[in-house]
Amino acid sequence: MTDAHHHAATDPLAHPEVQQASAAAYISAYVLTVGLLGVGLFMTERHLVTPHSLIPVIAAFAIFLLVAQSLLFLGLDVSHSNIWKTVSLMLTVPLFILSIGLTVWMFHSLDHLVMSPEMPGMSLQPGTLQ
Amino acid sequence: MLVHLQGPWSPWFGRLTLGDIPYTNPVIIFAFLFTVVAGIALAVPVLYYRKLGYIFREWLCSVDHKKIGVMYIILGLVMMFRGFIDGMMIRTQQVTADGPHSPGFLSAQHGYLPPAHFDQIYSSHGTLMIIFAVGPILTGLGNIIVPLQIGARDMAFPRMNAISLWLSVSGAMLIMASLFIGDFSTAGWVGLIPLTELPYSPSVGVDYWMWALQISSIGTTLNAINIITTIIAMRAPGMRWDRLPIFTWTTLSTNIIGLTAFPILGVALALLGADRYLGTHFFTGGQGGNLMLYTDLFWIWGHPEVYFLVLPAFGIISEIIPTFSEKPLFGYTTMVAATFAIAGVAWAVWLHHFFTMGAGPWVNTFFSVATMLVGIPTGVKVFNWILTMYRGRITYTTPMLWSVSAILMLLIGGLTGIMLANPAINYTVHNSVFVIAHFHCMVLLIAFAIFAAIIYWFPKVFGFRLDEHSSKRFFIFFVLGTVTVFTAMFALGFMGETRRLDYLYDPQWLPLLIVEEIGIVFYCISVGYFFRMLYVSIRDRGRNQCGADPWGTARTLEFLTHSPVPFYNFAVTPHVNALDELAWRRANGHADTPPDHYEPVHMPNSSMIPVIIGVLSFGFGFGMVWRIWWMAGFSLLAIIALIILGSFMPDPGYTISPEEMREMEAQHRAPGIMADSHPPHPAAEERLV
Ligand code: HEM
Ligand SMILES: [Cu+2]
Repeated sequence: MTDAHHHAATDPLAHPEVQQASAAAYISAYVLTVGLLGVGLFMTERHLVTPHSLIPVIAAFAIFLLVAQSLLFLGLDVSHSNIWKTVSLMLTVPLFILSIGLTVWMFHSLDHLVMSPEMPGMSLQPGTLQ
Repeated sequence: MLVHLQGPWSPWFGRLTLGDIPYTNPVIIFAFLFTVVAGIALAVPVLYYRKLGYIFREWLCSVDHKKIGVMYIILGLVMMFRGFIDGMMIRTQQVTADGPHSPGFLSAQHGYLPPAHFDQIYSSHGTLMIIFAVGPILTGLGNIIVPLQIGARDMAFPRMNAISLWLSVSGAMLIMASLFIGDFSTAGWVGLIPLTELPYSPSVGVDYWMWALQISSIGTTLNAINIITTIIAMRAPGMRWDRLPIFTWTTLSTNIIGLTAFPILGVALALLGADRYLGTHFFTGGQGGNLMLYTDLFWIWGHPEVYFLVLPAFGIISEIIPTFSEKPLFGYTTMVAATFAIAGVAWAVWLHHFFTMGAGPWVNTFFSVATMLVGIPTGVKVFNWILTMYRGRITYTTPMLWSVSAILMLLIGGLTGIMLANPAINYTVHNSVFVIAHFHCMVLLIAFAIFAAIIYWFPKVFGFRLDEHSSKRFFIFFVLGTVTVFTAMFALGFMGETRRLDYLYDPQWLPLLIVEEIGIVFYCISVGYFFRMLYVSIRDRGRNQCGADPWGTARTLEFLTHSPVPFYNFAVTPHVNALDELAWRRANGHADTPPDHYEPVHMPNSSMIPVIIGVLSFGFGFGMVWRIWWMAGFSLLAIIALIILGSFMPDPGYTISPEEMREMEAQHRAPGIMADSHPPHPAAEERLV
């Protein structure tokens, strides 16, 4: 272990990624987060728009926040001190898409099979369900 | 905002009343007495030899990765013992409750356990074994072995390492508390939905289960961060990625799974908690809730979790087989690739736990194919192990016996898994004991690997070998028990026995149930030999002392330093020249060359903060379970305050000077793991807080 390494290990404030942090970025990320989450909650609670148009709006908020937080809170970039954060993000994104995507697919398919009025079994046995 | 509860509630004690202590139940009274006696048996020698201070200072406050690892393993073994007793009770209930004419004892109509009590037992059996036994033992092994294998002095974040441990302990203690105060969940280790919803489980059982899992899984996540960072950042010079020992590789992959999957469990449990505490409807049957969403979230975590457990076991087998075949591991690169392939595919198979939800042929086909794909890298591993043994000079020490048997278990478990992965078959045997037999082959493979690892690395950590004579008998009876119980269970699955039955309606199952009970007798004998192994080994420890490499044929870096490993691990950070560094040094005549000069070594100080956080998180869990808001709130605030305070008190650590190190090495008085404190550092004592 080199001396520089030693120093970094004992003094957390000397870590380069800590040095990069700025109060302005933290505060703006915090305000953005609370603000957008609050608006989302408000819209949902008051039923301001129909559920169908609510989902894309909230999803857009969420995606915007994700990007804003990763830039402002985590300071994602490819510099030496931050590269592992970016690598973890690159690992997480496929997993995220995989788990959410496959879940949407399976529930969409399930919904179609068990909830639709033209479900094959339903019309064959009207008696059992009435 | 808070959901309205039936039954009494008071501000000081929450839902807790005297009536919640089950002092009228004979089975629980017996368990209580047993726990008390065991506690006294532990406490008396500690007090008699005045070791309380030693235990507090040297263990509870320790941030040494080896001690933390040992404590993880002790926690796991104790929980495994309790889980084993649960398993014994389940088997005994089923064999006595088969058929309408089966007699009833105590307050049960059939067998000796009434349904509600039986259900708690299988729920705690699964939860304990998976989350609090096998998990912590593997985490502990990773904690001990990984820093040694990569030539590091400790984990990247020693204090956080201790916090992870104490969070796991506090989760386990919540489950222990549920035994004597209130009750435990009846909804299985998976939390069968909607049974876990408040209307169907109004007591505190589900809350105990939920918070125990939640708290310990935070510990697991922190540990994953720690191990990943350690492996990336703390490798000794020359320890390139292509020289990384295979156990370290598997621990890395497993903790990537841990880091990415456990938060999902956290979310699932938190949403369930919102339903139970705040009256939301995430997972309810009606009112916009979707109960299959819980099942979905649980298994997005749950399937990676089973690979979280099995991958380190694969790593252990991959270390032990080369050592006792006196050959390098066959196909190192393919082994690493297979490990990551398994870890990757593990993310896309979770629906195979609920094919019967009926998501449709396309969805089921996709997940079926994905599941079967896991068989390919797993097969690669099996062939690699076999080819490692092929033409090797094999010695059948107990670690080797366990490892070879583990391969057999993997074959049976894997092949039945592939059967289950076929939706057409799955529809007929889902929720039957065939599934139970499948995954017990898998988790017992892990248990086999764990026993192999404990025997293999025990001398490294403690400096003396475990008694081979009794450990072979332990092995033989354990394997006999396994084969007897689970062969019969596969058959019962085909005969239509469904899982989780407190009363079995078909008298034709009785013969096989009796066979299973005989297997339990074998298991009991093996447990006896396990304790005998510990007793004899500790008694004869003077005779079984061993050197740096207790087996003579070990290949990896951890066997380079002394046994027992001194608190500073390596006197001089080793320079790594090859994959299988120790084998390379042995071949080149460098195995015991003493270092020519020493450098100052920087070590972390002990700290009281982690264990206090553990106690407080128990307080938080207990307060939440019983809805004692002041207790939960106080504990949570105190935890947050401690963490903030702790971060304002950075640990400067202390330094061992080259002279001290030379002296310790020369006189060979480097203190091992059991010895009283390392070089007296008065400052270190003061800084405990
Ligand atoms: C080739 C590898 C494997 C395949 C193809 C496979 C397949 C399956 C399938 C299809 C099921 C669902 C059965 C059902 O509920 O109908 C299942 C259940 C299970 N498997 Fe595996 N599995 C494999 C490996 C493992 C491993 C390595 C472990 C553990 C370390 C494991 C542990 C479990 C557990 C715990 C369950 C049941 C969980 C429950 O419902 O309580 N499996 N497996
Ligand atoms: Cu699975």
